[in-house]
Amino acid sequence: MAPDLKKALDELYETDGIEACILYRIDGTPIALRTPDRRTLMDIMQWMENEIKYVMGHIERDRLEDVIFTFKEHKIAFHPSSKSTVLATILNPDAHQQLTSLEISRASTKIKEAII
Amino acid sequence: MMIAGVMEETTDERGHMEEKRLKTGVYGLDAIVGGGFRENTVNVILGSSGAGKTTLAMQYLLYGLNRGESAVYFSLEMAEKYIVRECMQMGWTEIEDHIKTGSLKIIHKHGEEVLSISRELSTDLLSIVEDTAEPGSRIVIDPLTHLTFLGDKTHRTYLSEVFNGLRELGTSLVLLEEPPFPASTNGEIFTPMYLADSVVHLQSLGFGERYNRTLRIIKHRGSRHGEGLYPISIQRGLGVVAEVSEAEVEGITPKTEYQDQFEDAKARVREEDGDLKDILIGRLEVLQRNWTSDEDPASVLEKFLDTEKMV
Repeated sequence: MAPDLKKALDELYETDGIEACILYRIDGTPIALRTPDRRTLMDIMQWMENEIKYVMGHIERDRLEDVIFTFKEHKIAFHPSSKSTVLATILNPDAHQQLTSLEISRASTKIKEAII
Repeated sequence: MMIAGVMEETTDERGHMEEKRLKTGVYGLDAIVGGGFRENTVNVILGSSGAGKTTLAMQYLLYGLNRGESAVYFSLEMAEKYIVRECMQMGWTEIEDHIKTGSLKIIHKHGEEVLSISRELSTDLLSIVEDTAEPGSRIVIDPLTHLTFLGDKTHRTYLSEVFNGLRELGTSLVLLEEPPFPASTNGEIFTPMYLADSVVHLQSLGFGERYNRTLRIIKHRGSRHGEGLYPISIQRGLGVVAEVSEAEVEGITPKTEYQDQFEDAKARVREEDGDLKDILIGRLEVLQRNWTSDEDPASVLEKFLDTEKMV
């Protein structure tokens, strides 16, 4: 993985309230992920794996800036990071919405620079 | 004839002999497939049109040919002159010399004439390759797709015979066309993927950006391999170049920091009575040599000892 891409994900992952971040290619293939442990968040990641193509279809078709799903304990944000990638972030209930939103946008910009 | 550096019989840091590998000649690929393709195996290169399958296959052949090996290219699409033309376009001008000296033999059959695989065809294909290939040759079949169309239940058996025959003859790359719509596939790509020793998936999605062209190892029997999605490019003069970082190579390199835990586990096995001791210690040694995870093996070792009733 390109160092600049790795750095962007590492920095986002260090943000308070962000439990995991996964960069998907537009066909639903995961490119890179940062999670605390492969076993934790497994259910959510499996759900994301199943939904990713559908969500990306909506983002593409309706030109959405991002899509957020709220679960009992977690929020999942899908944010297009380039024309071929989408950044998915799993947030815990204590996450500061504005701060994480800002950090996701910042990371998306860096990913875009690294991907193009 | 084989010269040093083409095929490697590697040893790990503890001196254990590992299986012979054939270097792929694809820049960056050896590092994520444990050093190369395993000797006498059938390796499927899966990809849609334009993904880079033929380029990768020619790279594989030329890498060996340029180092004294022999090779057979069984083409079910392009005639020899077009294969040569493509190589010349890439800057691989030495291909003409290899054909002249006979170290590279190109066999061309029309795929449409052999649409469905049958016992006769599998026998024919093998006998042609057998007559042509020297022992230990690099072999390419490009593409296998025609042979798997219209297949019935028996085609799996015939395909299995072809693959087993190829294993006897050398180390093969079998190129497989990926259908544009996965739903349209029956058994034509799954059966060869199932039967193959390894599957390398090339993709070219056509939207640009770094992850437009990628390579992924779907399986590599009997070998550790990288599990990532690796960007690739096709460079004139070189061919397929995979972008693999040092950190990604490190991720599939066996770790040595947990040796004490493996030694403790082996000591616990030795303390037990019974006939299984040697078998179980053997398993632990294999696990120890192949532990690539950064995670502590304690939990896995506990499960092993518990299941084998050593706790």
